[in-house]
Formats: sequence, C-alpha cells, structure tokens
Amino acid sequence: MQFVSVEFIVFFGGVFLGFHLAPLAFRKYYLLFVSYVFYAMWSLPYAVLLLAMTGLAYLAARQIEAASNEKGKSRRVRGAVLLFVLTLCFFKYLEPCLYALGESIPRLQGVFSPAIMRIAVPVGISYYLFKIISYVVDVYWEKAPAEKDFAAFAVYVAFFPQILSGPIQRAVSFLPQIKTPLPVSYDTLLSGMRLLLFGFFKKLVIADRLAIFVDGVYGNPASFNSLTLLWACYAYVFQLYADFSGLTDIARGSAKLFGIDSPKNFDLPFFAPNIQQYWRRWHMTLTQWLGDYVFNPLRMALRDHGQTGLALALMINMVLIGIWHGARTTFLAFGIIHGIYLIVSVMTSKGREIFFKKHPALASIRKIGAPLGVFHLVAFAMIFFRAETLEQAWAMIRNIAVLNFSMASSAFFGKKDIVIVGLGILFMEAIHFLQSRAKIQKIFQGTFPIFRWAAYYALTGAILALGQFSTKDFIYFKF
Amino acid sequence: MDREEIQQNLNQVFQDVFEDKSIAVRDDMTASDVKDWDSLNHVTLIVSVEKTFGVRFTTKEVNSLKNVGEMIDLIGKKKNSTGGSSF
Repeated sequence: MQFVSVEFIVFFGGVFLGFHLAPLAFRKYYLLFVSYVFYAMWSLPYAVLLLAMTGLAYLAARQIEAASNEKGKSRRVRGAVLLFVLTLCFFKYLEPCLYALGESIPRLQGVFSPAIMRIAVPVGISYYLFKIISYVVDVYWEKAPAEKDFAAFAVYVAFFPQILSGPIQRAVSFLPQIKTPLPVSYDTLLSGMRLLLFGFFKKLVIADRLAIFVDGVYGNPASFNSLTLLWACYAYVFQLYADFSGLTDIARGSAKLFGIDSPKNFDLPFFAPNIQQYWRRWHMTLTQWLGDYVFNPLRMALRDHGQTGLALALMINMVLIGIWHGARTTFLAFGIIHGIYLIVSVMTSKGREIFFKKHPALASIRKIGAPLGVFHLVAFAMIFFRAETLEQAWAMIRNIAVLNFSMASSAFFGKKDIVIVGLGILFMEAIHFLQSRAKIQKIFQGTFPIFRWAAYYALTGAILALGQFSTKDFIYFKF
Repeated sequence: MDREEIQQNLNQVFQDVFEDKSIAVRDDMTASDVKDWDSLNHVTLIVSVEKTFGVRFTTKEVNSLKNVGEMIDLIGKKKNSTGGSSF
C-alpha cells in the first residue's frame, strides 16, 4: 500500500477514528492489531516472520538479563545479534549475490534453485531488525531493562507509521509512550497534521516534479550538454532530500496522530560546515544507530591501532551505509567515497582549525564556503547513489567534465517547472530553518488561528494545484 | 587512589583531550555538557583515560556509563581489582 494513495487514506482514516474511539488502556492492543493488518495486507507469510523475529528478540532480551554471569550474557547477545544479522543478509543480499555469481560464472547459472532467486525482500525488514538489534544490545549493555510487556514490545517493532522507512526509534524512547498512553491533545494532532501536510508538499510538489527532470537526464546522459547534466546532479540531491525527508515527515506526522513522538531524521544537512556534521544531520536515526552499534564498538576494538584504526572504522562504517541501500557496486562506491571524505576530514580537522586561527580574515569566507563545499562533495557522491551502474555514473561525470555545451538542454523541464521547484525548495528550507528554532515556532503557534489556518489551506491548495500525482513510490521504500 | 584523586586526574585528561582548560568535571556531567564530546572523540577520551590510569575497559562498560560519576566509580573499581571480560 502506498502512502500517496486513496487506499492508504481510507485505511489511515478508519484506523485513526477507531484509535480515538478506543479506551486508553486498549490502545496498545489496537495499534498492535492494525500494525499487523497493515503488514499482512502486503504479505501474510512475512507478517509471520515479523512476529517470529519479535518473539525471538523478546525472549533473547529476557534470557540475556536472566543470565547469571557475564560470559552467559555475552554468549546470548552474540547469538541473538548473529541470528538477526543473518536473517537480514539472507533476505537482502542472497538473491543479488547469487545473481551476480551466476552472471560472472555462466556454469553456475542453472545451479541455484529458482525458488531462492524469487525470494522477495520483506518490506521494512532492515528498519524493524535494526530496532530489534538495538533493543537486544541495549539490554546487554544495561542501558534498558528487558521488556516484560510483550504487546508493547510488539507494537514497538511493528508500529505501522515507522515500519516502511523509519525513523529508527529506540525502545527506551518508544515503550514508555505506548505503555502509559496519554490522551492525544489538540496541539499534538495539529502538529501531526502539519507534518503530514508538509511531507506531502515535499514529496508531490518538489521531489516528484524534480524526478521528471532527473530520470530523463540520467536515463540518457550522452544526449545532454554538460550544464544540463550538472543541473541534474544538483536536482537529484534536492529530489532525494525532499523525497526522504517528506517521507519521514509523513511517518512522524502519522505517529503523532496516534500520540507517538518519533525522532527526527534530518537537521538542515546542507548547512553542515564539514562532512562529519553532514552525517550527523542526514538520515540521523540510521547514522546514530550505526554509530552506537557498529562504529563505536569497531573504534573500541581497533583503538590500539591509532589513526589507522580510526580510518578503518570510518571506512567500514561508510561502506556499510552504502551497501545497506542494496547489493550494488554503485552503493559500494558511494560508501567508499564518503569513507574517503570522512577520513580526510577527520585527519585534517585540527590542521584546518589551526590554519583558520592564523588567518582570521578568512573566517567569513569559510562560513559560506564550507557548507557549499560539503554540498558539492555530497552531490558528487550522490551521482553514484542515483546511477544504476558504475558505467552510468562515469558517463555523467565524463560528460560534465568535457564541458560540451553544444547538445540539447532538457526539453521536458520548462520554465514553469523551474519556478515551481525553485520556490518550493526555498519554502522547504525556510520551514526547516523555522522548525529548528523553538522560539519562532512558539510565535507561529501564538499567532491568530485564522493566519495559521490560512497557511494550512494555502499549503493544501499548493499541493493540489502543483503536485505531481503520478503515484511514484518513495525512494526509500526499497531500502 | 581515592575518588578525589581520580577526579583530579580525570579532569586533566578531559582538559587535554578537549583542549579546554576551563573544563571542571562533575559527577552528573554527560557528553552533552562538553563541546566536542562526540562519538569520534569518545574513544579518544577512553584511550586517554586507559593510559592515564593504567586500566582497560570493555565496550560494554564504556556503553553502560551514564555520566562522569559512573566513569570515576568504574576507574576506582578497576584500580582496585584486576581482570574483566572483553566485548
């Protein structure tokens, strides 16, 4: 079921009404029920898998806590994490790996049974398994107690607004909200609706309109001039940003309508002054997750190897971020490029500070230049993220570098599109900026309701008049 | 080594790692109280603490710490005993 569909709106509306009619004490079971209905509508067998994984995590955490000594706890957490990681790899990487193997060694092509090659990736599996792994490890690290309330834990794992694409919320922040539910206030409902509205605006007005241009250019890089290709690279950065942050807003807004506050995933990433900061502001719940459960343990394990250990931990972390998106060489390249960025940035950060301290006159240039530089590094790496093959990525880069201005510019993106998208992006970033300032938010909430509602209606009107209703899937659904 | 002594030495480690002479560690201090105390610098801090006090932490111990007070207690505990598991 797609978020942008009549089906979803009907489902969501019904679920929302039922939720607010249900007594407070019953809400937990209600959300559990509808979350599983939502999942089973896509696939019943995989709903059983979801339940099985949830049950195993629940039992594993209680076993870890109950173990009498450190050795027993450690053995149990390793076993549980291994099981979840293998499950993830089985569904996400087995089929593409076997396919690649069959492609490179023709003799092997018929060997793998067609049944294995047809295994679909369960929707949201990496998001719910990441939740499960963080919970089990947190219990082992004694950051959280093992949950006794199975229904509450099962809602945490399967909560339908978050299961498709996150945000990856931690159990310690989710469970108290579901175990002691509070009546959902009018302000919470309104802020949920605001997020939904803004999310749909980003998706339908900005991302899907940019997609027309980006898809057209990436589909045939050889037939466009260098400037058009360059524009397509920039356009994709904003397409992905509007698409994924829009999706997150819809997920967070939906969750709010059920009284659940979920973490944010983006925090003005294109204003980051260095690449480390960028990764702290882009897909935040994933990078925080990897930081806690991959990077930091790796850093600890490699801490006797000085800078080499640090570089290795950074590279492994970024390669994992890359291939988490899929078993493709382009994602691997994306990860390696960001690994190199981070290593260089971390290793030179002290030197840069000293340099700019010695040259205070350059401070203002740095203030503008640094985020601009980071943006270009990010845009370059995203060529590999968007391209379907390495050849396509090279074709984009090569055709930009030759500075050929003789060929056609894009015919399928007119002046009207440019104006709509340009104003849309400005509006989006202005709202993001306001969202990051609590004081301004209070002023907005304090203004006369008539102005606020006028703004909501204007936004709804903009979506209806300017949106691209082509039911294009969200980019992050497939990860 | 008593608790006060550990705290004094730890203060020096914090000042050196974060290059800030104004830092004064408190029991309830957390990463959010110190500028630059992020995940990258965290292990640098831990390595520095390990060297200064001649102790060795496990990943679990480092992750269980809730504030500087618990770090001081853990150092004290380690100084007064030997051994420990890994992971």
